Amino acid sequence: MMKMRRRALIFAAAAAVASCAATVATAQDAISGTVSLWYLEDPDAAFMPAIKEQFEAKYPGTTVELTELPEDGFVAKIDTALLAQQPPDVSFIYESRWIKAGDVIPLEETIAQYGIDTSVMNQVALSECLYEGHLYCLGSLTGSVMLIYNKDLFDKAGVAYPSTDTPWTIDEYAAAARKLSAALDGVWGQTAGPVFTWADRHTHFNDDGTKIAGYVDDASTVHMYQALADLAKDGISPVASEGEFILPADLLAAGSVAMAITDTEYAAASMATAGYHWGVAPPPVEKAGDAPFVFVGTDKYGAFSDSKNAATARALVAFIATVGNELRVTVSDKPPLDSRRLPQWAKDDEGRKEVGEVLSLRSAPGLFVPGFWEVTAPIDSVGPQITSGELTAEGALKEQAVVMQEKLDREWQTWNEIQ
Amino acid sequence: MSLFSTGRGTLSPARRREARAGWLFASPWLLGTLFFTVGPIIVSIGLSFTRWNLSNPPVFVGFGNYTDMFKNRDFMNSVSVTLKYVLIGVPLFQLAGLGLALLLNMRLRGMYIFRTILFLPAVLSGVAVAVLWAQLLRGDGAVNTLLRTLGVTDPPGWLSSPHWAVPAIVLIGLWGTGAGAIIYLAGLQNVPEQLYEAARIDGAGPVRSFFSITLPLLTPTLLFTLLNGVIGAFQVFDIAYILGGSRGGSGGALSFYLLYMWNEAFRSARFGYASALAWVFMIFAAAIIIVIFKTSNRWVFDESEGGS
Amino acid sequence: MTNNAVGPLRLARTSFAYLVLMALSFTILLPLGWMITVALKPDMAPVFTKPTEWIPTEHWHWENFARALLDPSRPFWRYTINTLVIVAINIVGTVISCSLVGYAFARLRFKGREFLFGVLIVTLLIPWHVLLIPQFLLFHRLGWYGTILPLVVPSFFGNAFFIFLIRQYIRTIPMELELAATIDGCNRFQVFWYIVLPMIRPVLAVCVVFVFLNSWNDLLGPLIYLLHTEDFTLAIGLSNMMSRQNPQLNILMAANLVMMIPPIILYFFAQDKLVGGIASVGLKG
Repeated sequence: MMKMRRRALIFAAAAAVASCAATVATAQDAISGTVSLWYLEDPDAAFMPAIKEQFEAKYPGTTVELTELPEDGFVAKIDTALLAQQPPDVSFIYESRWIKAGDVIPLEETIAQYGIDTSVMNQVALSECLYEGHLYCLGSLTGSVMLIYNKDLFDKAGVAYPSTDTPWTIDEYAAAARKLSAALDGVWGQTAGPVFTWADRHTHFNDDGTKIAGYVDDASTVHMYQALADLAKDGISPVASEGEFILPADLLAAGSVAMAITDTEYAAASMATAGYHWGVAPPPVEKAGDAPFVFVGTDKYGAFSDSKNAATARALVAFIATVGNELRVTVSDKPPLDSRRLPQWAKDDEGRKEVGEVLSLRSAPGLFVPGFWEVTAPIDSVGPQITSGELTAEGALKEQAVVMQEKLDREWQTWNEIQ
Repeated sequence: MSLFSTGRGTLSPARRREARAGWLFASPWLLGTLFFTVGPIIVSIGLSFTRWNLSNPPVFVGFGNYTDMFKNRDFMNSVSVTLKYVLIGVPLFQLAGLGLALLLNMRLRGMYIFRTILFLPAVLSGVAVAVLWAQLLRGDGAVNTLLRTLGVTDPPGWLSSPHWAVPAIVLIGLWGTGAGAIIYLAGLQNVPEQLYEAARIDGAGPVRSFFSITLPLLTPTLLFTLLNGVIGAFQVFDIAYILGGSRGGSGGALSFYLLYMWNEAFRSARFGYASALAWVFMIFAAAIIIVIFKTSNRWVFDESEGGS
Repeated sequence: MTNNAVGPLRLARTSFAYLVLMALSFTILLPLGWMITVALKPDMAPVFTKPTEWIPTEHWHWENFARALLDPSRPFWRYTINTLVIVAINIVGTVISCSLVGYAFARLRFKGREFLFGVLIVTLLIPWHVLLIPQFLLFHRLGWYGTILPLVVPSFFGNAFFIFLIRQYIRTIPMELELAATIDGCNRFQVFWYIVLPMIRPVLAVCVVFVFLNSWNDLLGPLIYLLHTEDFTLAIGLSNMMSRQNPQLNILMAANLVMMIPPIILYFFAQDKLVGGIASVGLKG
């Protein structure tokens, strides 16, 4: 399934982090009445009901109307609601264009009013909520893409664990995969999605996200693709036809792959259920000395400008960003966005502590690229050809770079037209 | 109201009454179309000459959207994917549907059960079908295991292969043929039993009575299923969306036309462009349908014409 | 051909038919078995296993069905009632309007009929995805946003697919009965009501089945137009299960299996209506 990919979409990083100058709260309307909250993709069914219950208890006279929506059609649902000028008060902010078009309320005032410390939150995750220096949404959860591995299989193969602070280079990663595969009968060394789905976007784009040609096909990026393709070619990792529609988590839980670069939370839960010891590390980088980068997303909630009850809507967003982080630990047992609460979530669990360590790494903020998934789609199309040896990574990426640059220009044009 | 004029004066009173009844009986659809379809269509045609991102007012760009699309690789790709599916899928679906219906029309004990079983794929949600076929079409999945048993040494990668993704969707469609067979079944009920008896007395075997009785009498149904099959094939959306994601699978191998259009409209917020895509689609599909229709009076049996 | 030869030939044909039917059924029941296997698995257990587990052997978590149906955040019974209301109204609306219009296009001669029929066919081609926004603006202006009206009212104004289907069907029916009834003094509506309607029962059964399936499975319509959880339909509930970050395939499959039951029951009984048709009015060929 394309679930992984689509989920990663939610983690799509946004504009560079700028300092958020907090403006002083001004007029304060009463917090009461009904607020609607539209959400999707929450990994825990108990979380939103808990938010509702506790918010209503804290602010008597309020009612939170929860509406869970499927991801298919979510954007169309919000777009039509915005056209009707009846958007929900609070919603998952799926598309950055809503922010740019002025449909979402900036949160500086709210942050100051409720004393929210955004510096303790993962900056990669928050960068999706940033536009021109203003924050438009906040979250309670971290979802991440890490290198997750099976410690039992590593021990059996006599391969040293990767470190939680210094990422492997792609060559070290490939070497480990080969060693694991050679030492373990019937076990694949690794499985990973295409590099662009988990690597720092700066490896594929220039610093303002306007150029992809010359970056996606430079020697170091090409080398990453080639190294992974060679693994598949040599039978070290499942090839696309076998791997694509299988969740890496299933392979990890079945003990048929030793490590994977995938959605951390889901893979970890699968491995724990299967009874394996597991660990995590930042995904590999181009060369030694490169800063680690971990893709992190959050459940980004913001309030719509057309909200009829803006004060209460802002209070609810603030509530999700504060009490919500606590409920993530106590109710959902999921890693919160507030890094101060990570130890509380990890408890004594070895793997979870490592997740906390990797999440606390100072990653570069995410790079905003409009239509990122549309632009990078051509890489997917040549993946099988690189894997089969029909094309070299260099030849394929050089050829596709032109196509991708065309697409990128078109996406920027559309983006720049939104006012 | 001039639209409703039936050329009064040239018709006999009976024919006038008939014409009036015709308009009356057809009026629900006429009103519905005028009200629910024509207005939105006009809006949509207008939008196709604009750039509209839903957030800001539309900007007029003339034929810009129409000329842009023919320069766009993704557009060309989606056209070729869709045509490939229509060409492979439509004949197969027709043959399979008819064959299955003939089988299901036999008077056998337990036929209700078989009909119901073969109908099952239609009641499964798209999501369940997608999850199921993701498993069946894996490199080492059930389909390829079967193919290997049959002597195919190097079965395709199906959904992850740029060449086999469309045939995979056809295969999934064939699996669901049982639902469409119900339309043929209803048509087969209309073939009078007496005709078969007469043919039997004349010494015709089952093959001959199929070609000289069943098939001709089934042609109106066949015209319907053919048109509907072509339209359905042009508009394939759900299964590709779920299996390949909104971007149309690996390398756009499942980037069907409507999927591309949906993506442009709602993911990329290019609503004017998407409207232009819709109208190019309409014109092209309508041309094909007209060809089918124009040739249909050569092979479709029509009781009304014969009786009038 | 003597009667003696027919016996063995018939037997061979029948057994061959059974063989093919059983093979085909197998290709459908086996995957269904896999779905049941998945539905009975515990959370987090691998689903895409190798080799494929066609029938459940290891896990028997029947409570997954209860979990799928009794999740308090997704009122399954409420969704079922909402869905059935929409489905029922659509069936009534479609059958009434489409049989009238189909009859007009099949039998009644009026100027412009062929042109209008062409328009009808063309409307079948419209990619509705792109009419979504203009149509939405229309329904919104009518004040129907947030109600089920946009989901049910259009069915009373005919549906091109079913009108076409019914028209094709009527055209295969001999006209003698209708002519006789007209001579006996029946007006057009009486002819339609007493003669045509009983004869087209099989095709109406087909319509009922397809209308049921269409509105039963429609996701986007209810999703766009309905605003409150308590108004939602089964298709939305089912999609919500899929879009969970952790796709709980076991629960999803359990819900799917349950959701299959009503359409299957409907189909099983609709088959009865398929037979009949001409035979039901006692026409002599």
